Amino acid sequence: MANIASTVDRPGIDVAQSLERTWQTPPGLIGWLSAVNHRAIGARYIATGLLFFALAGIAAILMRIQLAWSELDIINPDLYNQLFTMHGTTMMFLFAVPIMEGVGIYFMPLMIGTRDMAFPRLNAFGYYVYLLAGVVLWFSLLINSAPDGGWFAYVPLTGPQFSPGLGIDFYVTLITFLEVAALVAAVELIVTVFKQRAPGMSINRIPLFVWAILVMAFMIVFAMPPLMVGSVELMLDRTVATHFFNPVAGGQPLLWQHLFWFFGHPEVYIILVPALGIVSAVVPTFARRPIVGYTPLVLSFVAIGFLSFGLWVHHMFAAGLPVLGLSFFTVASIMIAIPSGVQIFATLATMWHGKVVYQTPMLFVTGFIIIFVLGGITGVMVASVPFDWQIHDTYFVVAHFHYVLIGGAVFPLFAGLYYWFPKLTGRMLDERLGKWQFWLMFIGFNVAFFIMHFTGFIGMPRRIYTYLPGLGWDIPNLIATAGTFILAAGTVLFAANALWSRQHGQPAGDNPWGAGTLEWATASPPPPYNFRHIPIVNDHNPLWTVAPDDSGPAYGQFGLLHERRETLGTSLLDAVPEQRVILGGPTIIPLLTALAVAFTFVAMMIDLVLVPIGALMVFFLIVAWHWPQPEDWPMSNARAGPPGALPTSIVSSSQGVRPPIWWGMLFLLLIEGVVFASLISSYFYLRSAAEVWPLGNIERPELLLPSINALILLASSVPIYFADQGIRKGNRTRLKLGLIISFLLGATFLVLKFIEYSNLDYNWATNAYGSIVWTITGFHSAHVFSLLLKTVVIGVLAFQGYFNEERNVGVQVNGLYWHFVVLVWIPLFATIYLSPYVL
Amino acid sequence: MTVYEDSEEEFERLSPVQLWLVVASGPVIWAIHLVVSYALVTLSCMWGFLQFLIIGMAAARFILVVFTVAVTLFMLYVGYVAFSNWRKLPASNGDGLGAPEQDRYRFMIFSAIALNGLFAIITLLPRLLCGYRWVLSTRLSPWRC
Repeated sequence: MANIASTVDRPGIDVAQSLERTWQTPPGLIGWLSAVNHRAIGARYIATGLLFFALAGIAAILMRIQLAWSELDIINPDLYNQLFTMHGTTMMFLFAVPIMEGVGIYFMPLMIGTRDMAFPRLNAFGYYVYLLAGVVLWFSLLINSAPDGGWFAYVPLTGPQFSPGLGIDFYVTLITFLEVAALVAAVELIVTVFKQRAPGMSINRIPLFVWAILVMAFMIVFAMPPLMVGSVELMLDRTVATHFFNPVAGGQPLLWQHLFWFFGHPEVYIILVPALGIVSAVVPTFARRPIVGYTPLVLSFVAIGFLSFGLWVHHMFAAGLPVLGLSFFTVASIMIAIPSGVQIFATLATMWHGKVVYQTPMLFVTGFIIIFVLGGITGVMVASVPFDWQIHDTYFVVAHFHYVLIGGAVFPLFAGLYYWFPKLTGRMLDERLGKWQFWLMFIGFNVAFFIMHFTGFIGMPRRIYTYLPGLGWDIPNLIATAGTFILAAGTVLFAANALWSRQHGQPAGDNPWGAGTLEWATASPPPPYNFRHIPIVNDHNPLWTVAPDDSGPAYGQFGLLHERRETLGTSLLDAVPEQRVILGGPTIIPLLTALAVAFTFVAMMIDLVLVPIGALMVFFLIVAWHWPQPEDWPMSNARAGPPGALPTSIVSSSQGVRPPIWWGMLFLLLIEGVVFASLISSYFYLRSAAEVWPLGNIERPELLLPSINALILLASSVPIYFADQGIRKGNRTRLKLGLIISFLLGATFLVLKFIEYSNLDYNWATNAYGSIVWTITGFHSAHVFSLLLKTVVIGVLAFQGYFNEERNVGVQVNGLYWHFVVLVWIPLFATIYLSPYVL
Repeated sequence: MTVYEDSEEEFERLSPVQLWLVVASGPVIWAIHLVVSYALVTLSCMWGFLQFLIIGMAAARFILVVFTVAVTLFMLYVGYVAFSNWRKLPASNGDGLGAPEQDRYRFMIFSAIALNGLFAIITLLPRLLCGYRWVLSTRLSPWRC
């Protein structure tokens, strides 16, 4: 830390006021819609998530009323199908994942001692995408066109033949759209944890909740893209008559199940891991001691993250797969109990060694332990293939996953809401109402769901809207329905408590629980800039080792200016200060971009002609988003700071320090890599099930023109490299020349690709081979096209003299993307053109 | 390995690249093993290849056993390398307030030991649990799909 500037305030400057001016959100409706602050966005995620939780809960109550007794006719079968699909889809996609991300977005930056997320505008964009997707999905129920094929949307039921209406179109379009929100949130969570931790917060001192959020974000990066690929393939089957899942034309219905469950099982842990993180934040505070087993807990998060990807086939035990293959997934499903057990035992050990104060958050943690352990035990039971075959698709499974998801996620979430409500609002939730809520929820939940184990044992299948009398199912269903009402009463009590306490609750103060992590070192609610000066950390629970002090000098600390949105950037492993990260301020562009993207996605359902119009709007909005403002052009602005200050993120790359935007691009490319890997897997899955390949009378692909074209694309990376190296040395001519040549080579690739595909005697609708080949090529070509557009924008900036030897991160990031798109063509080329000759 | 001087005392440690490799190897190798094994079994059953016998065992199963033993031994070796390095580290003062880089290094090397050990068990366990069935199944049927 030798090059850190002094931490002396400038005389005559009110630091808090100055920071307030810089970081505040503009007033009024436009200001509200322009907000990018992580706390504003995080709070909106949480509120919206709770709203969707309530809607999905109402759907559940309606279903339980219908099932309360045999042969009731309150809800017709069509509406019932829509309700259970909307319930599952909403709980998984619109409630559980977004609300956990929202909790992370709100509290993670506070816990790591930074002022905002790495990409505040992207954060706002992600929220609006999520909101729009949810609103449109629920709108579909209002017009009686909601999806009705279950949250897993199995084909062929959801294919064009058996679900011709709009319902599944809403599902595939909006799920794909929604994934965008989850993925951008994941990228910014990762980059923020990696690059903006408080000095001294090396990776062995990161709070456990932050570790959980980090693991969750990585899981999203690897789990969501396969679902995107699956939902796009289903969308194409429904809109342009491809055959990915149509067995008559060589498609494979089980391909959908593989893609869906490769996402779907990690999804459970994407929800569970941050909930475990909440437990790890709450328990030490109420046990009045540090958590037992910090390192094993971190490792168990990581192990759960990996193992969750090795379980997907256990959802397909009844699908007729080779039995020996199933054994791998049985073992992985059983073994995940080890890291999950570490979590439970560490929690119990902390409580055992501490002096537990049983306030409402701790009650919910206790409820979590009991319910989640029961759900875990039945999880080990269903991991056994013979047992699974017996209870598959019965109410036993419904009981099991509600024990896991409500016990493992909802109870910890309420623990977290009670724990952090004072930080959110500055007021305490009412403790008496909280205890009533806990007992209503705990009793109601067990009454509703425990009996379902037995209902399943006696043979009641899932997803039926009614049943015949005399099967012994009436009484258990009546009990379950009664339990649901008690459970619902508990959640209503929470709503009442939150609304009342927000205005009239007891004032909380900065740290009402005497907790040890950094979010409690600032005011409740925190000021827009979070911390007057960036805290320095030397422990997991910094507030328990060093008295919090947010009153000291701020100006010049690490050279941070308070006249613009700056926060500290630190190194990946040891959190050593290395740059001043300049963050984007409030703007309405993220909202407009989300609306344009939503228009593009909805256009896919209405009329494909509208899609290019939407894409054009998205392009211009993204350019407007990133285009430098007039004040950004002078280099004095890029370098501004006190003598000896750390470099800004605009010029840090010239000093060997990679700015957050570089890391953001890296993780975007990781997502893209998973998308392409999923497409390649689809190709080989379809190929593995075919006796002859290519299917039908299609010839094996011609090699000469594609090979020449591949070489042209590979060659385009060379001028991009020289352009990048040139501008690092201040050579603007090399930059311009490199961009022009690479643009021409990329455009040539696209033209030749167009010629090649124009001459093919098959297309995407011929059979499954045509579908996958055209989709892979089309998707990659779209990437090349977007590269060309991006290069035009970079080129315009280059010709206007924006880039120089210090300020060139835009060129570097463009180069990174270019090289990826070029390199990914190598495995794609091998798959499409070479593999038919050898496999 | 290089000898570095930390702010408290010297200790011998792995290079950053080596450190990341030993930390990540267990889970990553387990994931590769799972996908390869599942693909091998599925394709063998679907296409009927690798079903001839090697020492009384279907070839696909023989490959699976050899592959499993090999990756498990590799994970155990990597875990041992990490363990050897961990033993040479200066003792921790236990309060988490030691030299930051040294504490972080200890955290990572311990992670390498634990993750390699855990994933070695997870990789080998299905084969151990199914061990008795190999004998039975080779007598009853060389390869059950």
